Amino acid sequence: MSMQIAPYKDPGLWSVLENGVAVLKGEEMEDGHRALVLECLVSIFSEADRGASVVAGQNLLVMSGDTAAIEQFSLFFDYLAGPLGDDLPARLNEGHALLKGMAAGQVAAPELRVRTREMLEALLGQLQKAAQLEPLVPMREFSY
Amino acid sequence: MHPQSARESCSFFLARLSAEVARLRAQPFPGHHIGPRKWLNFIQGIVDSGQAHLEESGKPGLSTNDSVHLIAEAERLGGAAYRFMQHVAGADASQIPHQIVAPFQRIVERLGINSTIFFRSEHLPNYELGTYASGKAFKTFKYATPSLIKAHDAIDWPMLIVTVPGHAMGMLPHFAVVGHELGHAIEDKIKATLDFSSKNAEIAQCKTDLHARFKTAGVPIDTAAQVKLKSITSSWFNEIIADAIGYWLGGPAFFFALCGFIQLSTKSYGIGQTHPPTDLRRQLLLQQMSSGASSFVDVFKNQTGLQIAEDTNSPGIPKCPPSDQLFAELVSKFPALDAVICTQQIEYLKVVGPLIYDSGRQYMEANCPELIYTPERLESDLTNHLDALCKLIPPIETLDVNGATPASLSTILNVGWAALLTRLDKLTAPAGKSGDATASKMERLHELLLKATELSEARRLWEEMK
Repeated sequence: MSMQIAPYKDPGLWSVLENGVAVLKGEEMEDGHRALVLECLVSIFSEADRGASVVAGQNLLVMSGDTAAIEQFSLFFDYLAGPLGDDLPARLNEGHALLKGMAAGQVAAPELRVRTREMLEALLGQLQKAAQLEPLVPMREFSY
Repeated sequence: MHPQSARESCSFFLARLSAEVARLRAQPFPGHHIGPRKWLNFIQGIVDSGQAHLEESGKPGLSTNDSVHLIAEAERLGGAAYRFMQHVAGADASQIPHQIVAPFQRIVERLGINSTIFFRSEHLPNYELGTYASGKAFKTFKYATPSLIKAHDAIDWPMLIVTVPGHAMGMLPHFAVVGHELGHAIEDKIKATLDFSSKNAEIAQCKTDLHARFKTAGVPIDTAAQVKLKSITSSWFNEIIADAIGYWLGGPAFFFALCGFIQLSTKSYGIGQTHPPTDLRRQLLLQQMSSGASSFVDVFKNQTGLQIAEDTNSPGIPKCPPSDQLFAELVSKFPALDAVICTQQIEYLKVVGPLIYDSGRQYMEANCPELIYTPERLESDLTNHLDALCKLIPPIETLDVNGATPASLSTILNVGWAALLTRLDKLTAPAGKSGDATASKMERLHELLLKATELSEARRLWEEMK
């Protein structure tokens, strides 16, 4: 069992994505906090990027870490497959490289920052939508 | 927008959460286990951070939008804390037999599981391992409090929570299923060692059959199908890996516990996105138990007279029908994509299942060989303890070439299962108890095995202190 809560209910994920948008916009942030946000984002994109490769692979062998990678890819696939379509794996790969570079102190190309930021904003928008569309918990019935 | 009332309402919610955490912290946890306390500290840190967001939301000069946004974050934090708190229910000393915690913690450490872990019970027919890996993301909150940072850093992530069924289904021999859950905690380590190259031809045939099923079912192999295929395959692998670890830890006790538990709890095939069918898991287990010159099945027959068969203690578990019929049954209830994958991956697991068991054994041989339960051990355990247990002498220590050593949990569970299945008639019934005599004997057996677990652990601790 995974105790992970639904993405749109996960305050940690919201925080990482919202802070990630701020980092990509170049907003002021304390260095340690910025580094932590980038570390979390790199972890998410790294797993999702690998998940895209696992999913595209034609073999049936499932290797170490694949479950987490597929779950992370599914986060993006479930919410962004519509808007990004077949570009999704390439965009994940691009975002992963950009964030990894930024975490290592490299200066990122502005247009790449914008593309990745838009991806995060799109994901946040979809999470917002999912939260708005979540039905209320149905009444429990105990009649047997 | 009027944020004030929302802020006050959230403040009350967070204050109540804090009070609840304080109440839970005050209760005793079995075996002085620190896992639940670390988890509660993390929850309190989340509540504190929610409170900090709330305080910021009320500062003068903040726009209404920013204020509402901070309140929403505080509410989300409170919601997460509330959900996380439910995992502590059933972890207190009144719900979990305190005797089992230390032996399980010992197995956890020897298996190389470094995560913070705790055990809890629930009144549901369910064993499960819960994992929570995203703790670090909570540190990215703008107003994350020192209490949250400190509590986060005190946990070895991912946090693991093992749930076992509550009292009525909590008979000690059934706890062998916990080995399966601990197997889940090291599934990635086993996956790193999988090698199916010896079965390339059979696997190629499985792929051909899978694609043919996709085609005849009219299901496209697009990205969504690939995600589902890999996800189901990965989950099924995880179940077989966990079964393998449960088996190498517990031998026949694991087989009986898993089958007996499923027999009690469901009459379904057990097949789905997360689990392969139960009868396949049972077949793979029996295949392992029957292999070797002197197998578990041989030893058990010689010592007890019982020939272990697939359905020895699980006659109610239905067998999956042939693949075409199974597909027709599945597709009548589930999406065609799921039906295709679940039907075809059965054959695949039949091919690679034994190799997964081999990988599990290799992992344990390399990391914790002393934990592998062997037919030789079973023979010695049943010789030394089975008749004694019927005379109400619990299996506290075992004799071997090294002299007397404290009995392992696996020894206790296997002797317990042998008594349960083959010697219950010889077990002395408790005097003066009315009601069902068999149930009374089983209750007595349960108490004897708990006593054995407690005393063998006490002996082990005493030896470690010497």
